Amino acid sequence: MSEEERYFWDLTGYTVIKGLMTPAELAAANAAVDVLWDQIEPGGEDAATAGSQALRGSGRLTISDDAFLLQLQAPHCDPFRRMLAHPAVVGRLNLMCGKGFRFDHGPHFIGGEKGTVGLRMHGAGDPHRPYVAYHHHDGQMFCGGVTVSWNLADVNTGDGGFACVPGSHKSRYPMPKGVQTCDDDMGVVEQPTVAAGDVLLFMDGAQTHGTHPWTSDAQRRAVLFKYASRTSTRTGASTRLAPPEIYWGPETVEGMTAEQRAVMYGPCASSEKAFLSVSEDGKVSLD
Amino acid sequence: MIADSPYSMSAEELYFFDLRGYLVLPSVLTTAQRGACHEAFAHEGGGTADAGDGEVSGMLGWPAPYRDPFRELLVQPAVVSRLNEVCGSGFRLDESPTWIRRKGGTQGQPLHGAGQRGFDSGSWYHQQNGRIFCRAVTVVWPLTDAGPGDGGFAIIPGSHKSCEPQPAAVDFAFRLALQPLMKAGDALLFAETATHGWLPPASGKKEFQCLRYRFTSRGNARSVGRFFAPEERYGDWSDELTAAERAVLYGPGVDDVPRLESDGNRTWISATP
Repeated sequence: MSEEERYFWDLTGYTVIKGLMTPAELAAANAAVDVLWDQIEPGGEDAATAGSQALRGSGRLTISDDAFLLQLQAPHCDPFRRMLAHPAVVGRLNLMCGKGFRFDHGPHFIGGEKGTVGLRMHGAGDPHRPYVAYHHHDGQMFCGGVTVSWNLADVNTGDGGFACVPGSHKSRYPMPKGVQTCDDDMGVVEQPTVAAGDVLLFMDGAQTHGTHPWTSDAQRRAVLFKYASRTSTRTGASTRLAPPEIYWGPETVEGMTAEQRAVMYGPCASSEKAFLSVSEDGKVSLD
Repeated sequence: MIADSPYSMSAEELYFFDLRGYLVLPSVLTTAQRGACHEAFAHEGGGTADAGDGEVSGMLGWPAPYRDPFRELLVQPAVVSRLNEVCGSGFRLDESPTWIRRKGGTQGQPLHGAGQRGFDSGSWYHQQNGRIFCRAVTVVWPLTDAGPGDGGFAIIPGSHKSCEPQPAAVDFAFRLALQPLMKAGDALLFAETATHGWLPPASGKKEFQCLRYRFTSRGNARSVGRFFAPEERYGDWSDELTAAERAVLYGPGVDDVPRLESDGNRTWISATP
């Protein structure tokens, strides 16, 4: 990571590695996607747009089953497995997340046909989420969550797809509704352009980001790997393994109250039924 | 420290915890609750509570009713309210609670924590938007008094915010090191990233005993829990991956997992953890 790239990353919250995939690697990954494309079930229309007018469109085209692409029958799993610990990505994640960074969830395939719906802008400094936060300490950067997006097709200006608010990983104020929906984005939302074979890294969760509706006649094709620092966890396998009976074993939690079970969930950012409150008279209950 | 309400964290407590990195809640545990702990330990802990030296865990899984007093401490309301403030709602128990026993004249635990390994993402303390975010908070329940010479917890107040390496000469004799005085039944919360350690009881003093519960914020892992290795998390197909690919599939938590190095063209496992 050059000084210029590090400066850009710290300033904006994203970076693009140009031309990382060879033509052969790009062709292999697209061949796997060709096989899968007809199996993709479109999501619901207007899903996750937060009532936006600007982000409306037809259903999302995604494959988000955890580690699904890594388990495809060979040779189709091979290009995605090579992405897991690609040298250019490892070098950057060692600086961004710290050594010992870990794959948290994904890889997700995100496709798009002309008119595919967008996704509201999300992630910001308020509410603050420490497990994906961006921080500097003793001259070293630490980012809890970084997503690596391998682009299998071109994304030109105005095509849509990944969009973000550069610099928002350092914001400490709630995001205005107009920015969230992109109906009045204040001119702060940017849609980076990338070519097929480029790789985009962004501070997932710390940086405000989302998706613009797809407008190009060509397909959108991107594969997203979600990483975390050594001690952080977001979702993925952690979600499946977090319930108290699984994480600690039934012998430890059998007979516990719902409130006691709440503090026994394994590490996972999205566990439900894990939040407690205390009344003025000292009664502890689930939120 | 006297709170405005036993079940909410006062502005004075927030100020003190942020400034010092620890907080003592007086008289939280009743004599009956402590008695229940001792009785359970005598029945299930491998002997009477008055003999032995070391650490015992697994109390949450003991047969009823002996597990009950330890389970009650998981969600003790005075502690829950403070953990919600400093660790964040959704905080979680990171590892099995431990019963610690130290005889007079035995070894303590040297000061350790902030400044020893650089930034520690597993115990990071910071503030943002007017709130404390402390990823690792340990709750200590003294079961015996911790007065001068009694042994117990010691800390360098304020060290949870230190940004400088800890000099090797910093030990319990360091003029900033402090032993918070506590009574049996108090509860102590401290930021794990603060420089801290355990003083042994002086020779001739009675055994020091306490319970230690280690908590962490929701999306964080301090120690290595279950389902850490790639095959435990993803299944047998992970065995087909290269060593470097497998290295990124470990679960969250601090351990000597294979660390990757890269020169931009190739990736290899680091020789030093």
